[in-house]
Amino acid sequence: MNLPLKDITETVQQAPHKTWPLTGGVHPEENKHQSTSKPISKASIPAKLVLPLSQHAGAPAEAIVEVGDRVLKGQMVAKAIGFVSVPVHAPTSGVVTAIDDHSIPHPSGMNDTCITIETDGKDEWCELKPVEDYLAVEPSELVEHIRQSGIAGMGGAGFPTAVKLSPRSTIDTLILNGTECEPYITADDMLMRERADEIISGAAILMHLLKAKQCLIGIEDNKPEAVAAMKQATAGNPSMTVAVFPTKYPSGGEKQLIQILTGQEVPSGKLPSDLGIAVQNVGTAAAVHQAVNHGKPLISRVTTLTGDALGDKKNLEALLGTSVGELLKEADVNGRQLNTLVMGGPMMGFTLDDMTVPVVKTTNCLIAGSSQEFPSSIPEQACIRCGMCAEVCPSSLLPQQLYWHAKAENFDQLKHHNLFDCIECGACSFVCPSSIPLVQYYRASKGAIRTQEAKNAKAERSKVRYETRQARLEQEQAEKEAKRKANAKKAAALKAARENKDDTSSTAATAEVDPVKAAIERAKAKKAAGGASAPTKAALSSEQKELKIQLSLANAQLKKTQRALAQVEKSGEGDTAKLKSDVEMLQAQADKLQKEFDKASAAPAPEAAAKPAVSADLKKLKVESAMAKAALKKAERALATALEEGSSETDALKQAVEEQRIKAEELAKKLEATSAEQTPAAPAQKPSADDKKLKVENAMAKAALKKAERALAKAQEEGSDTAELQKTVDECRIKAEQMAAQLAAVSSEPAPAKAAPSKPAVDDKKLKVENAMAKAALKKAERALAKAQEEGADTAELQKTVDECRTKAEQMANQLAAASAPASEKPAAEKPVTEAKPAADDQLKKLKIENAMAKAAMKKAQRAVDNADGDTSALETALAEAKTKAEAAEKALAEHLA
Amino acid sequence: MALVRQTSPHARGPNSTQQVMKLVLLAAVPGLAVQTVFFGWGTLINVVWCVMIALASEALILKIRKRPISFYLTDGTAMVTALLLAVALPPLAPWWLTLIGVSFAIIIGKQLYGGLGNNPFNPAMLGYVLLLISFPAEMTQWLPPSGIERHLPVNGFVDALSSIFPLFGQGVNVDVISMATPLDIVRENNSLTMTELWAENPALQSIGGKGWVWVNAAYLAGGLFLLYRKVFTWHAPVGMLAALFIMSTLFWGDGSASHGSPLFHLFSGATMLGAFFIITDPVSSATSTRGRLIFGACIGVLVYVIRAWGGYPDGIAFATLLMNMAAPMIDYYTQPRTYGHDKPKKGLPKTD
Repeated sequence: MNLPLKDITETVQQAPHKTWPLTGGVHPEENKHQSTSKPISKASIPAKLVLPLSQHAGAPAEAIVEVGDRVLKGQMVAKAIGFVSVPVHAPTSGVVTAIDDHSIPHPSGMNDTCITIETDGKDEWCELKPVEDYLAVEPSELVEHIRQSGIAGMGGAGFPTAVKLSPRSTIDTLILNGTECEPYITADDMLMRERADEIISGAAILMHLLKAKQCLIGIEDNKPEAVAAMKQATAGNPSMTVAVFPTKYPSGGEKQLIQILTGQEVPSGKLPSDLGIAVQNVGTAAAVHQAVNHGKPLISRVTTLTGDALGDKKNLEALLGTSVGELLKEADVNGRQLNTLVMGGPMMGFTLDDMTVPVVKTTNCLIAGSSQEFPSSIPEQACIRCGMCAEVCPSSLLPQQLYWHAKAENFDQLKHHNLFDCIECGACSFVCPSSIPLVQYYRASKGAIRTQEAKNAKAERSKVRYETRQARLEQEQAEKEAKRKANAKKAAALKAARENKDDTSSTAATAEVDPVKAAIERAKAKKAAGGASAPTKAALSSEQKELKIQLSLANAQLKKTQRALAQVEKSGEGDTAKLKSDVEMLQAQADKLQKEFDKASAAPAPEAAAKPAVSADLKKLKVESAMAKAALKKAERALATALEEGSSETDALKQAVEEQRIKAEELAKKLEATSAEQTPAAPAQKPSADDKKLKVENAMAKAALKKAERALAKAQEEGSDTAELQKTVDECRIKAEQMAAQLAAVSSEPAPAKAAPSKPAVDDKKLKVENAMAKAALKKAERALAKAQEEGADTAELQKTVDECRTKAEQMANQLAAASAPASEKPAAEKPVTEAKPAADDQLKKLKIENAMAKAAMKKAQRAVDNADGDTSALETALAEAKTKAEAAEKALAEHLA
Repeated sequence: MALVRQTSPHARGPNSTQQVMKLVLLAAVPGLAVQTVFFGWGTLINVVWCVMIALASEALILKIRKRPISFYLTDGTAMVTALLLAVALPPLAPWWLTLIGVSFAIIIGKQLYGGLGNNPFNPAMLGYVLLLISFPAEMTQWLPPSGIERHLPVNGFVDALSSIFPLFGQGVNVDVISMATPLDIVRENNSLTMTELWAENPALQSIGGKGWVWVNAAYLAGGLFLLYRKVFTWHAPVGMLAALFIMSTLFWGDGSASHGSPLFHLFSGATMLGAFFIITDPVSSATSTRGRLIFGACIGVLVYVIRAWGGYPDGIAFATLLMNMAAPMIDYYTQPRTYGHDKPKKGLPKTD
């Protein structure tokens, strides 16, 4: 091959341009001769053309035609969007039949938006607008003309040519890349042989635009015909030099070609233009010539069709958008032999598995390979660090070390070993004796590092955001400091009082003190608490007399804050600062409520009269507010996690947080408003709390009694000694009765004391529940009795129990009637009804039981929600359900009662 | 029609690990032949015995590690290890000595580190050093080369076989016929000048000692063949030989204090075997070309230090193992300058 080259060089008589050797490089089998025996021929116009909107590097073009439009050859069908983008033109005349997703040539085999044109065979040109004299035109206009002609680099990367023609620095050397170092490909070779003049004409335009002083045309020495043609075309043009250098892969890489032709290296991370060099492919130069001198946009390109599965290997000038399958047919493809279809060269091209993908601006070659030509990759063996890869690396990397670190995912080491200077030429994989797909490791690692860096950047941003937020919160905290201090005093006093009380009750529970005594003690403690808080309250607002109301409110708030604080301290996770701020917020709220109450207290107390139902509303609002706050907290936590992980969902989460916040704020406002309105109703809650406790104890006593009774029954059945058990049962019973009595006393006490019309309803409810419970106990006792009678056991004891229960139930019923008397319009009627109509009573009983049960379920759910610190959404749903049920039950009961 | 999908490059060169190992084995043939000529059948028997042990122990470990046995056995690396250890052993080393050395080299030295490509030390040298330290007597019983009147070399195949495997009959008494190697003779000498020593000792004919110079020349030829076939680059061998030459020139000395001439050091003992077959083991050596030059040079210096002032007659094995340990560090400091960078990067990456 050297001899004819020498001959040609001599005939053209040009001093050979000095070249520098390529670092590394390999000599894969060239396989170029197969496709150079025939001149370039035109591919026929297919029935359908598919034009991807993104055939270049940069932003995809935007379609400017619609389905059904008739387009002419050369007519723009999609316009460039942004600076790094080029338009797409119709390669022939026809009708747009679709603008939708179609498979495109891409290593991943993905789909993208394409314009489909059904051709009409007329091949009718639109009006062409060539540039008459490019020297007379403003350069920027000329660049725009080239851009509007849709020209992108035709060597493989497809970088928009117009961008390269607008460099930041001055260019003195234009390099035309006619290297075509990849095996098999001969498109540029044939173009140089046949259309050297077009290339040179295009090069002259490019030189004019770049104001370059010289043009170097780099061609490998395995293309003597192309060299001769190009030398002939440049003869007499001193500014253009054809530089011939030894064939070696990858001489055609942009950086490598610059090294070979100028001895300079493009600094890492910089562009050739920083060296005053611009590199363009010869095909691009020809396209520029067509666009400027003939006004023809880029609508076709020379593509090499080669590979063992083709009968007729050649170069075709194919219309962009022609499907690969059509082209292969023109080259007489043997479908049975075809095993691997490569677009591009065998070293850097990618395989296609779909024959419908179209030819695009960067498609320089299609290799229809047989299974012998591209045997399936053999298993990877261990790396023996032989260093052959390092010898052939054109970037002087250490592929063996990169491989080692890539496998270990040691990103720091990979960057230290200049992974990002790898041009993925594949020379290392080519020589690897262990058949390791090295390039693939590097691609994967590059992707992983990019992902990680994006994540780090995101994390950094969120860190800044978080710190800003913290600063803001701290400021807010400082602003509230004075207020907080004032509140802290009050809170401490209240807390001390509460602890006192708690201590007493717990002692009572553990030491099994006489319940009555315990109750007395509790009452004392309560008084003490009231007494302790009274002076504070009085000091704060001496004119206010509704100390208890304030106390109950403050209690509720305090409870909440304490619980939150305890939870944080217990779990040890989460943002304590945040919680502290929450605590403050609640305290502030308590303050506000207090103030509002102060104002409201001026209004007559009766205002609160008709409000028992509203108090329920308030409760509901509070629950809702708490739920909203919990949801907000949860959403915030999710957002924080997402930010940490750099998840893509942060935007959605942010929105969710915003929504939750708004909701929570709304609810809080509503709650405030409602509570401000309803404060007088609040006192009802206070006795109710005490009642609750008593009730719980009562229930416990009853449960103990029941258990003891069950044990007794069992023992009796088994005929064992029952004396001991009997005693226990009796004790339990006494206790239960005492509890019940106490409860009755306590619950009846506040009503007259308050004398507020709102009271009865609440008491009523309570009484009803107790009534229901008593009745249930009675029923149970009756059932036990019936059973005992059936079994013929000793029924005297049970009979007694039943009687007792009945008495109690009756008492309860009486009490209930009495309590509801002042509230209801017809107390007299109520009582007789209860007593005289046992049938109707049954339903009432049932409803009451249901009501009680629903309430219990609701309470339980609420407690579960409060205690749960994980995912509370499910629990919240359950709570909501329970609430609904409870409300329904209550309503039903109320209706029945009415 | 199912078209194959795979990543680039789609073309692959003709290289393969098997091919590399075959070339190494082939290149060792001349040296092996010369060694057999001068030291008898024992060398060849050792080679066969070593290969058998190596393959068996490799197969055993692969089976235990649940790796495909034939896939790894056929890569030829175990055979190369066996060959290198076999030619380094005394020709009539008893069978059990070889068994210990080779199985240690393959099992401990190679497979327990994760198999091919993961061993930090040259397995053959690891086995050799184990034997040298554990069985110094057996390991220094070198036979006199043929052509020396005073000593009857064991030329008969049966004699050699039965000496190695007493199972096959009564072998020769190795103690009686063994003699010191030229390196040993020079090291032990403290009364005669070099000329006198050469004149007196029949084993010290020619520059490297009778027989030894030819053995070295044969391994040099094999090494040049491997260089020509680009199995490895020139850096490590040239580094070692140059360093050895420089050291032996600097510390040549006169009279009875002489450590021997530079040529004597280059063509005696295991110099050429070491330079072209042992320190070029790519797995355990430095990996960049500059690194290999440094790696080889350090070995050359260490070899001379051990030969001249150390307690052992030859130092290839120790020097190699010592430098194996330094190879990763050498790699960190000998990265080549990447295209587009002003300077090569050095050391470890900075981590935050």
